[in-house]
Amino acid sequence: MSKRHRKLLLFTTPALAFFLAFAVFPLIGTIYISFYRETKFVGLANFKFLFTDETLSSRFLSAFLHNCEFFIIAAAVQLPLALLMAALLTSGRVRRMTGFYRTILFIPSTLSVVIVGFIWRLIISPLWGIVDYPLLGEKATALPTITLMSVWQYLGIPLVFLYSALLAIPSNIIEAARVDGASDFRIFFRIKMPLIAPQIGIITILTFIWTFNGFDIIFALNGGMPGPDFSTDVLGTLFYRTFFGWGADQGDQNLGAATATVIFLIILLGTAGYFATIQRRLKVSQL
Amino acid sequence: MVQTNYCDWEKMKIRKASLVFAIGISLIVPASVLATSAVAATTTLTIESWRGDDSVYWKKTLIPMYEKANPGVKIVWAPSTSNEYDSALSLRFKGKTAGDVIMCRPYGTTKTFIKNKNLIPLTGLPGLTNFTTQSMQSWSDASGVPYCVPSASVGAGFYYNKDIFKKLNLTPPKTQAEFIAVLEAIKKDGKYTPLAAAGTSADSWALDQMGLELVGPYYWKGDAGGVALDNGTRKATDPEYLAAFSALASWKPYLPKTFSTMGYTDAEQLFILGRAAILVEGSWSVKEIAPPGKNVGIFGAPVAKAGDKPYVQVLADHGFGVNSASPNQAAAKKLLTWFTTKEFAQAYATGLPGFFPLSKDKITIDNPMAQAWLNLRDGAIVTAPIGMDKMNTGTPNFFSVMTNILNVMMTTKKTPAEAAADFQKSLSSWYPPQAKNK
Repeated sequence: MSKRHRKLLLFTTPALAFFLAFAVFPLIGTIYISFYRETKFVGLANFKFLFTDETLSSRFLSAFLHNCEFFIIAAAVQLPLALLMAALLTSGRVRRMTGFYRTILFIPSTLSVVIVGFIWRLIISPLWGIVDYPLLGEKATALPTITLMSVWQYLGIPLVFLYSALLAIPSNIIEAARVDGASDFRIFFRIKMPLIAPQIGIITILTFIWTFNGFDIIFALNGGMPGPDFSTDVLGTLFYRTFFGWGADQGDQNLGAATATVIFLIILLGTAGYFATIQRRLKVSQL
Repeated sequence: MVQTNYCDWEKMKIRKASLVFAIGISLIVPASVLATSAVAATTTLTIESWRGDDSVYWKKTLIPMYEKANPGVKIVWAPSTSNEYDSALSLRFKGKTAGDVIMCRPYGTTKTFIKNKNLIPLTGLPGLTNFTTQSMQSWSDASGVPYCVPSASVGAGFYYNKDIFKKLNLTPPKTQAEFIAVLEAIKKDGKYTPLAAAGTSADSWALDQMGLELVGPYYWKGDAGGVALDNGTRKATDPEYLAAFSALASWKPYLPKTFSTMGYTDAEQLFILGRAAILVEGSWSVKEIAPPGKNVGIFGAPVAKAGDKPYVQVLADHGFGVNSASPNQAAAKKLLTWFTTKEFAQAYATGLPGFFPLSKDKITIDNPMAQAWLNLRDGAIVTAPIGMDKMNTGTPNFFSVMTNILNVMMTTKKTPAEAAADFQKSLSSWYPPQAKNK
């Protein structure tokens, strides 16, 4: 082993050890216990129960659909908004305080989800807040409302991605385009957008992973049986309820592990599918 | 040259500092080991509970009371969140990490813990004779062997704002018709929310414990109705249960228009701030809702016909048992014996008004509001909630299903008949005595 390799090993080992101990090992452990009932190997029985039991399978399907809704709303609102903000901040049209705007747009991402949920619940509380409509209490509006809270909180993350990508575009090509008489809009859509397209792809897939792993804000707002009438129940809360139990309902670790395994597979397939089909075709425009 | 010297000196300082640090550590570690082994001579008992609200009273009053009389015993009060208590506790039983003394829920999960032999039988525990068999039954196995010392019961009912009632010239209602008339009058006046109640899904337990179980017993004739449902001789869609669902649904026009996002504490706030005239609540929040000086009164569930005997729900709230895996069972049993005494019951009733001791001792209740709650039981037929015993042991759990159905009925256009049918459908899907009543 060369000295260089030894050094590489030295620097990667701690991170690798942590990753193995706290990500890979629990993942394999979860998949392992999903094939057991207490201490008995039962093959796919837990999965069969999950997909055939009348109550549980309908809850699973509705949670999956809610996750899709969560993802679509988050992606459709957050990405354009972050793009707009990043484009404004880098356009040179905001003359003063770009640093200030960048900071206040990023601050919510650093707050605890519990605090964000609490603040927003007070803001939209019909009792104390600014709207006289039970946004969180109606089946139709509850999930979009929670999604938008989450979008508000994490807007800073894609913003920073896009902001740095836009900053990295050399100014001489923009100047050249301007000299050629291109408008701001044309510059943005014909020059900047193609250059940051891979970033947009990455943000979309991160949003997918983040929404399908979503749990915290819903749990913080609505607990383990997220209502009204399970209308904000997502895969994460369904897993929590199956694994740990809620109220008088007892948890079932094996069934919970099976649920977790299915969620993992959904995210894995979604991400792999995306990389195989879309991300590969996104070509980085050569300068 | 000077520079190098300086650096060497700096390094030496660091080395010296780390040496001092190492010596310090080597002195502290054995000292702390010695200290812990000295403490280990005393017995530490951990109490598992979901009553985090009562922590101050336990830590400041009840525990010191016992520790003073029993030197060598140290008690640790370890509460969990109410919603997570049952599942967390069952995990701790499995992992053998549960505390020594366990606060027991009535029926439901406690019966499961008894079946799994997580609790020890308390047969022959001195002081258990201090309780009626009726108050023991929610914590006993099928053959009547007790597993927990009954500690407190609670009740549900309505608080009303006396000032608002006086201003609108209203009196506390006795019958359902009067109740609706009062609500209608408050609504017509337009200044106040007639009836505050919790409507979020997270707090939907309230609609069962302080809703259906509050108004229902009158219609399903108390315990008889509970037994008939348990045995499968009657079903939830029969008229007496349907009437109970309807009585609850009759509140709908008088709830705050934002009811569906109103949590339990929001409803309390609405009433405390004087913006709601009536609040449906439990006796356990006497201290928060009706502190001394507040002009607040109480009335119970209305009856259909004037002169009918009211039914009052007495909900066994909690008791205490001993973890079968505890190494300190003798000390834990001794603590439980103290829980059966009049001294404990009196201290409990004084410090935690709204929780009523279940022992036969004569306890003085010095909080007038708590006494008012107790007075609701005079001349009434006392009954336990339905479904808690047998129907609460399956999947889907009776309580989860019921609370969700009631939440939907109260926040949407779902009718009482549809709600009762939904409930019956869930029940007959798994509960054998009800299987034929599809």
